[in-house]
Amino acid sequence: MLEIKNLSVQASGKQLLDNVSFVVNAGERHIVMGRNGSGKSTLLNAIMGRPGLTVTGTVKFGNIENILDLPVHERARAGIFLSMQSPPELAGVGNARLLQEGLAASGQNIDLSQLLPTINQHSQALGLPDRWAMRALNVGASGGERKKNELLHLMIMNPRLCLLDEIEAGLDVDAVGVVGNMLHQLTEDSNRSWLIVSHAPDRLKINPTHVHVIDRGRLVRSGGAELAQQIQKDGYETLV
Amino acid sequence: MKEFEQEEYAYGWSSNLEEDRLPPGLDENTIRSISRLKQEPEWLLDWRLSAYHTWQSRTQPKWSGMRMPEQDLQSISYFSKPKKKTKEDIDPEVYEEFERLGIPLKERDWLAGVAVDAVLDSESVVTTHKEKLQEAGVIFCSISEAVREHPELVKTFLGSVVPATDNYWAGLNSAVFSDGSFVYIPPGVTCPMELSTYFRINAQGTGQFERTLIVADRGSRVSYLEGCTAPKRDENQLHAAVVELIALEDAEIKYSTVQNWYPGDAEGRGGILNLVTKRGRCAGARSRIVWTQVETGSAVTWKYPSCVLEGEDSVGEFYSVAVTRDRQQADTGTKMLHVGPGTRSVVISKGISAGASVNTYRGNVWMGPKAQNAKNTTRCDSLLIGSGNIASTIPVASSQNTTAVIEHEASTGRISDDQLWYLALRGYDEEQASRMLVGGFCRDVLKRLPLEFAAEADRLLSVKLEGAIG
Repeated sequence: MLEIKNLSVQASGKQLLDNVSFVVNAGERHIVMGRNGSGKSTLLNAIMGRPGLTVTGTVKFGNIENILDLPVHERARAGIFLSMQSPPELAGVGNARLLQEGLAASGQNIDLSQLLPTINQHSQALGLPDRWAMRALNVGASGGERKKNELLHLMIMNPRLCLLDEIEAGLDVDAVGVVGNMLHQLTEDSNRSWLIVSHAPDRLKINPTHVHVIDRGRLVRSGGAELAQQIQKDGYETLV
Repeated sequence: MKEFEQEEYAYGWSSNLEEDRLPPGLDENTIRSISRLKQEPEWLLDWRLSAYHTWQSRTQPKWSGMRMPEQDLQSISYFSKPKKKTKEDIDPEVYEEFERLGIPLKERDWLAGVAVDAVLDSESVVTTHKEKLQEAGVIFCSISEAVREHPELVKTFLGSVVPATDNYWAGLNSAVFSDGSFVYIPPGVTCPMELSTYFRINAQGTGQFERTLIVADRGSRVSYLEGCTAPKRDENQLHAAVVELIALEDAEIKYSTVQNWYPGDAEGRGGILNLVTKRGRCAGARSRIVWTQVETGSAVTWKYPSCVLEGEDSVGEFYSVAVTRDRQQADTGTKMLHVGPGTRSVVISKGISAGASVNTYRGNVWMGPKAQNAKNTTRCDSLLIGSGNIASTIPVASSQNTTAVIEHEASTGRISDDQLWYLALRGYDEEQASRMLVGGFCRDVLKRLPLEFAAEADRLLSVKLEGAIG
């Protein structure tokens, strides 16, 4: 599904990622771990094409030979979803309408009257406030609500590949519980692929199929679920 | 960051209509000719001449500080109308011109739910749905026709809100106004449909000086829409209109404008000079006047739709979106004059400036000595796109009553990279993202527009953010 080959990233003269390669197949759950500032978020941002990054290498996605050639919105429309670490607020932009037009841009025209019940149902399951769908995006929302909203968008946009950037950051204990349960359900879906940056994959109740450790921009270790256990027990010292 | 461009002006074509027009120039004879062409009564000619004599002693106002070439008012024609205009014999090109603007004037194609008065250059060409309105007792016709058919109404109210002596451009309008719309809603009647005037300047070397007068009698209600476009021309064209609204006891008038006059090219050549005086008088107790405007066109906009709140507990509201790009200059805002006790006013202004444009909110809130417990709330937000433009907020507030309350809030912001990035991640290209963000910024105002205008306004806000991402 996703083939990352020799991916290197620079920004303002600094090397942020150095020659990273790995493959995410359909239905796999990959966790990316590493110390703060090691390049984890950069990896996700480079895959999506965040402005300001100089990216070399190739990223194959499905039938698309190199998504790095596409503008950001076309990568999104192709079925890749990135949940931002700090989602912004958009004054006056209603949540449901944002989703509706986003879906329409990706070729799925759905009436608001059909979309709303689904959004409401998911919002409720995530413990978001009443009438969340009609509110302006993230305006007056807490950090936790913003993250839950990212998950809500993921559920509505229904992407083939999900990139999550520290979705647990900023969540209190209860919210981690809700988000964890939801992610557990979602990640059991065998067709969808996941690339998740997280310091605490088991708090999110995700059973990783693969774990990668990035340090100073380089992929230093790849392994299975046991690697995440080891890191959460012993820290990064022994690995890097 | 971001270049902000309007899509190519979509209404820049002109039709080759045969016109009857007066030769360029302005003197007493011009005014006599206009009055004679329109077969006006003596009192109106006298009113025009008196306006002209006052106006002659004044000079073009400069206080707004806008770059505007002094207009040679002797070089334009003060009257131009499409030829062959009798009811049965309207030039098919006139129909076509309005068709292209999306305003069908042939009866079988009339817009349902909206009665339209179509004004081309100096003349009203067609008013639709007249019979249906007549059944409800509503008078909706060109102001020329009103002068003939309802002289006592016109005589009572013309100039009662904006006197001919009010300001330079209103004075000029009073002397030379050619056409415009007249509305009268009888007591207790809620107008059965939206009323709309569509103004189009077609002819070259002319100005448009229309005059609109709306009177809502006791306990009546009306919603009125105004739209405008003009061809692309290298010269500046003058549009100096006057709009007067009168709301009697318990009456309500909603006046909405989508102004899309030709703004001139990217270097600031040509474009309409939109110098307009709009004012409403809440004359009766509990009356209400609501101004909603979306200003996207014109090279220069100079306009302050205002409310004189005389009636006890009367309400004035002003909701405005002003978009300026390239070298456009907009100086717009409102005056809320609280005369009576318990009067309330709300002002929400959203300014969006891009390119090398200048966008100013100018407001004046006044609480008079009798305005017991009156209240005003003003909110002005500016959105800046790019760095070469100027956005200013100039609120003036004064109170002669200690029980009156004035509240003012203002903010200035930019579209952030994070917001554009976020929308791109949801599949939005740059144009879609900018429309969403600009639309969101204006939502508080746009949601107050009648449905018929909302789509149009949305489209006008569709703009490009060049090179915003990547």
